[in-house]
Amino acid sequence: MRLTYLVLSDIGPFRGRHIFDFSSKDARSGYAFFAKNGRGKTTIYNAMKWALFGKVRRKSKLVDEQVVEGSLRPVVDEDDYDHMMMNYDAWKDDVPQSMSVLFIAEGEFGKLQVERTASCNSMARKDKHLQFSLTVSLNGTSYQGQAAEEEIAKVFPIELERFFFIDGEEVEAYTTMMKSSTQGIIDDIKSILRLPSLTRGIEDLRAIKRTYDDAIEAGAKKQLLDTKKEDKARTLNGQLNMVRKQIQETEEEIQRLQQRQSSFQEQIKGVAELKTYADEKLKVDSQIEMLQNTLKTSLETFIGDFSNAGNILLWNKLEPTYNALAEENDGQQNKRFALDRLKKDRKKVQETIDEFRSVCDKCHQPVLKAELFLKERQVEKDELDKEIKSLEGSGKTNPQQLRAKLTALETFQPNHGSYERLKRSYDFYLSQNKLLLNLKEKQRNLSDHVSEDSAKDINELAQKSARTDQALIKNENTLRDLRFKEDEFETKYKTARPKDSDSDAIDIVYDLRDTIQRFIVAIEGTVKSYSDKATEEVQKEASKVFLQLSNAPAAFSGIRLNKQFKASIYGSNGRPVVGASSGMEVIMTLSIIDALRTVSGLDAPVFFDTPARSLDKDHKNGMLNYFWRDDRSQFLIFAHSGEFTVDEIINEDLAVFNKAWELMWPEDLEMTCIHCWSKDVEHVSKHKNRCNECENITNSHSRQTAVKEVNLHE
Amino acid sequence: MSDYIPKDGTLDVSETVHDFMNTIEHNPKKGVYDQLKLFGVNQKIEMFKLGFSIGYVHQLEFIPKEKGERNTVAPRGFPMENYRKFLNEEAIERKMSIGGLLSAYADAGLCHLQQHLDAGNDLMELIEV
Repeated sequence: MRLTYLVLSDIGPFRGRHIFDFSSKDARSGYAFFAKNGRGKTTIYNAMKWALFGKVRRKSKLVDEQVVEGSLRPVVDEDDYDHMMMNYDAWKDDVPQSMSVLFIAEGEFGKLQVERTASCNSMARKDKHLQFSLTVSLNGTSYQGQAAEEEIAKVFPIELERFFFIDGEEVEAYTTMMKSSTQGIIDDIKSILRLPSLTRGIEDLRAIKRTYDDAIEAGAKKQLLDTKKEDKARTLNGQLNMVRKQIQETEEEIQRLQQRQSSFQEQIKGVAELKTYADEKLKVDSQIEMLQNTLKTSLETFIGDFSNAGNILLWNKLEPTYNALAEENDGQQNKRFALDRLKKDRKKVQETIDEFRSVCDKCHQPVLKAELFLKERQVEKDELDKEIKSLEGSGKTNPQQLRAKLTALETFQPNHGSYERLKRSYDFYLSQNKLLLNLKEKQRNLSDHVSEDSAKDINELAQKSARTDQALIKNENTLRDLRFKEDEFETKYKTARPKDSDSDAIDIVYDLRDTIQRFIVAIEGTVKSYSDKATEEVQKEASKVFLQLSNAPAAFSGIRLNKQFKASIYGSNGRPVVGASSGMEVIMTLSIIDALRTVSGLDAPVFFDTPARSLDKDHKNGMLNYFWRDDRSQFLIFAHSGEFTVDEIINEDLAVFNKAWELMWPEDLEMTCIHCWSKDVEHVSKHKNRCNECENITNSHSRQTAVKEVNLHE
Repeated sequence: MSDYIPKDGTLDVSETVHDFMNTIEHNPKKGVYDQLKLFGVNQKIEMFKLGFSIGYVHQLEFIPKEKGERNTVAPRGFPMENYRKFLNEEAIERKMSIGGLLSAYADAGLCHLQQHLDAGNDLMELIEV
């Protein structure tokens, strides 16, 4: 690919429109811009970046061996117009304001024309006030906006920017990155080797595989769930079938019982009259049976009560005797109490008599009427003796014998209410017995109407009918319960049964997942293989370039890259070079960059700003000799006067450029028209000359850059 | 007062009375409930006591002893001394043992009971005095 035209309008020091024509029939790849500082070399470099990528960053900085990317440069900024990209006069004076870059290139893809414009109808103070437009024309097809950006990216991938926009001031940072193998350079190298696009493919496949894995996992979970549901459903189905079978059996049984019942009813209808007697007889039989039970109980109760009958009767005879004896016993008891009391009184009187003294114990005076007192006590004692004797003489019965007799008679005394109880149980038994006799009579009478056998048959028939009825009711209840169960199981079964799943679909997912896994493995292998091979090729190519650019090729064997793309210079002795010069390391970096370009097949011009920074003369010359060759891509250098001069390149027989331009301010020229480059000028006022050929005025104090193409033939 | 001291003697009933005793005995094993029975099995003593009570209370005349064996009523648990307390004097008067006196009254009483029942009279008429 070759850059054919570059048109700058009101950008940096370029006021108005400046056209750079790179088209040439000459196959040489070298192009150069020569200028002192501030004349606009970097502006052209940045203008092309801006046209292609829409943004320009300030230079990266190296902080603690880490590259810190520069901030974005504004197109306009009223607070920082020293660093804004738009031409200051255009920003200050023009209405509407506009800055644009037209980039035209040709290559295998055809003709690419990129035009990016920033404009404002009034005065834009910040970028947000500007309107940005991008138009890309590829082989006559126009693209706008995002589509246009995408078309540019096909030719100039932004991730590869570092490999065709090389800033000499940043090469040192590159070198540091390469020596330390930072992630930034690894990413860049991977980018240029197109590894991200491959690994992106892997990531895409992994993402798809994850989707399938999730689907499989979900499928497996669902399958597990379905299996459980199926098990449950199967159990429920089994239960449901069993219930249905039971329902069928019950229905059949009900049908059979109904037929049987019909048959019984028919038979009963035929013996309807007899059945009345039979029923009555059955009833009487039943009553007799019940009564016999009652009779048994009542007889046993009566017998129990009758065991006292002997005593009840005997007591009638013994009771008066017993009462008389009891009365006598009570009298004897009273007499004993009276005797005891009299004896106690007599003893007290006797003690009074015995202890009496005629002199008082306390006052020792003689007691008055002592004799009279003693005499009275004696009389009292005699009366008591008389009473005691009288009582002791009365009563003939021995009290002990009396009590023994009473005790013996008490054993015949029936319990209270025994007779009433006996009478009650006797009457009840008799009444029940009478009832039984009546029923038996009734039973005999009924037997005259219906024979025992007939009654038995009829009863059996009735019993069978009743039993059939009961069985029918039982079976109908069972049937109702079973139908309820059937409904219940049916509902449960329907709920439990898993929905039909497409097992084929999950098999396809398995197949796809496995296929993708094979792809991933294959691609990973390919990427690794490619990476290894590319690294080896980069190493080989970089070594070749390095040896060509080096000012002492015999001392080195080349450059080696490890797996992390950490670069080292190796001496001819096969050992890494320790303490390589910064120039040598810059050459190493350039060699690697060029090798990467070569290996990746990136066919884009190289724009190299301040290329010879920190290079000695040999290296500078070697670099130009290497890059400015017929068989290489365009190689544009933006060199300041300290690096290269036109005279130096030509005089010292360096590789000859295809085209070159000098960027100058009026003050760089003496009496020369900056418009037509005529020397026929005359001084007209302070700092101003007028051209006699084109009649334009050149202000020598103006800081607008003029471009002059170098004529190699002059 | 006589020096005669009545002996305990034996308790027995006539063959006829003994047969009657069997008829008023209720055996549950036979399952007959519609015929009036007065005593349970093995209650001969109770029957004897009832017979004595009927004979003694109604002062029935003693039945002359039949020829043939008399059936002894087992005196086990019979409170002979309690009866003696009110029969002793009569036994002395009749010059009989207590058991003999008891047996004579029982024989008469049970025989009377049989006649009473056989005649279709109410049992309780005999018990009520």
